Amino acid sequence: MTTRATREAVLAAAFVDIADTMVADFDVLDLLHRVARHCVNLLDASAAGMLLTDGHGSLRLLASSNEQARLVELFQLENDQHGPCVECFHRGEPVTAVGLSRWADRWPGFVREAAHQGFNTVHALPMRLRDQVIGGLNIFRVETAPLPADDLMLAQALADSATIAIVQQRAIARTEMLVEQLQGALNSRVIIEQAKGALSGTNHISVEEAFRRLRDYARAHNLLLTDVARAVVTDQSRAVEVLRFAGRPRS
Amino acid sequence: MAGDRFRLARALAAITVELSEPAELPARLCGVCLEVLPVDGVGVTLVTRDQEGRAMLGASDAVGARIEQLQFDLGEGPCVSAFSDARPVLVSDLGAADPSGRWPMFTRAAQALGVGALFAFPLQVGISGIGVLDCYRANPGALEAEAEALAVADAVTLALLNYQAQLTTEGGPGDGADLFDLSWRNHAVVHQATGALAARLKIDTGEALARLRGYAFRHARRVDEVAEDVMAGRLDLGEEQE
Repeated sequence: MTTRATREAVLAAAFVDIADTMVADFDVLDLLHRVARHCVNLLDASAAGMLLTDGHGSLRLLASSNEQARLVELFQLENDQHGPCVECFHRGEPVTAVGLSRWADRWPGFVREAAHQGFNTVHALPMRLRDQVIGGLNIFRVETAPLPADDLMLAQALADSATIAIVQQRAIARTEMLVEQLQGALNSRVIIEQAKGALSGTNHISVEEAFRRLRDYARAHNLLLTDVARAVVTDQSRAVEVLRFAGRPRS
Repeated sequence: MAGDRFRLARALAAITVELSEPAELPARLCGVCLEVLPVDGVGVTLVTRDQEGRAMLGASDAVGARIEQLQFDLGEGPCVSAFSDARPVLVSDLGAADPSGRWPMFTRAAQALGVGALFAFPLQVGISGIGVLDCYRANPGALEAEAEALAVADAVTLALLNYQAQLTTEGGPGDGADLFDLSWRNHAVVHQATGALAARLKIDTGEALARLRGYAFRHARRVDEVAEDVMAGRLDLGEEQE
C-alpha cells in the first residue's frame, strides 16, 4: 500500500486519465483496462475485471488486471451465468460476497472456480447511469475481508466515470449514425430519380421502365441500386451498358 | 411563464411519441411547431448535404408551403442560408433593406406573398444538418421566443432521427415509407429532369439543376412545371440556352 500523500496524487491522476477520454474519440477497451489497472494500483484489491454489454445487451468480459481474474469472470459468463458479477448487473446494485465458501449454495460453480484461483472475497459494482446498467466492475481479494469503505467508494467512483464516458460516446455514435443514414437515404432517393431521368430522357422510355431496368441491372450484378444509379448519372458509358443489358431477352 | 414551459414540454413530448400512421408525421410536426411558437405558419424541409435535394416534408398552411417552394425554385433564401451556415437566420423585417443582399429574388417574392418576418432554424446534430424549420409571420417583428424555437427545432430533429431509426429496425413502419416518400413535395420530377438534362447536354447535375431554375425564373414558372415539360419532351433546354 502506498502512503496517503502519494495515493492521493495517484488517485487524482487516475481520474484525470479517465476524464481525458471523455473529450475526444477514445477506445473503450483501453479505458476499461486503465480502470482495472487503477483499481489494483490504488485499492487494496488483488485483481479486477470489467464486464460490458455488447450491442445485443449480452455481457462480455473486456478487461481484467490479471489471468486469475480473467478466468473467474469468463467462468461466470460462459458456464451457468450465475455469480456475483452477473447478479450485480441484473439488479443494478452492488453485490458483496466475503468468505466465498459460504456462498457455495448460491453460486456453486463460481465459488469453486474462484477458490481455485485463490480468491475469497468479491465486490461487484454496477456500471450504471440512472436506469441504464451497461456493465460492472468486479474486485477480487485473496483476503477474507471486505475492502475498506472508502476504497469501495473510490472503486464505485472509478466505475461511474468510466460509465459516463461510455454512455456519452454510445449516444453520440448512435445519433451520428442516424444522421448519416438519413442523409444517405435522401441522397440515394435523389440520385435514383436523376438516373431514371438520365435513362428515360435519352432513350424515350418511361421513367417506370427506366426504374425497372436500373433495378434489374442492379439485381443481376448483385449491386446496390444507389451505386448503379450513381454510375449512370456520372458516366454515360454505364448508362449505355444498363440499357443494353436490359435490352436482352429475359429468360 | 411556468405555464408556457409546461406547454412547450408537453408539445415536445407529443412530437416524439409513436405515430399510428407514418403519413401523419409531417402534419404532426408542423402542428406542434405552430402550437408552441408565436408565429403564423411553419414549413419543414429536408436537405441533402450537397443541397441538390430539398424535400418539403410538410407545412402548416399554403403560405408556409409557398415559402418552401420559393426557396427550392430560386435556390436562395433564409432557409438555404440557415442550412449552409449551420445556424439560425432570423429576418425580423423582410421589407427592411437587406444589408447582406443575399436573397434578392426570394425577398421580393416572399413580400408579395405577404410575409413580414421569417425565421429559419437548421435541423442539425452538431454541425451535421438534415434540414430546416422555417417559421413566418405576416407582420414584421423580432422573434422573442428564440430559445423555444431552438428547442422545437431540436425536438423535430430527434423525431426525424427516431423515425429513421424505426425504419431500419425490424417491425418498423409497415410500408417502409422513408422520409422522402412521406414528404408532401419531394420534387422527384425535378431530379428526373436534372438527370435527363445532364445526360443529354453532357453537363453535371448541379449545372443541369441550375439551368432548370434559370429557365423557370425567366419564365416566372415553378421548377416542377418546367421539369414536367422537359420529361414530357415539350421543352429542350439545350437549344434555349446560349
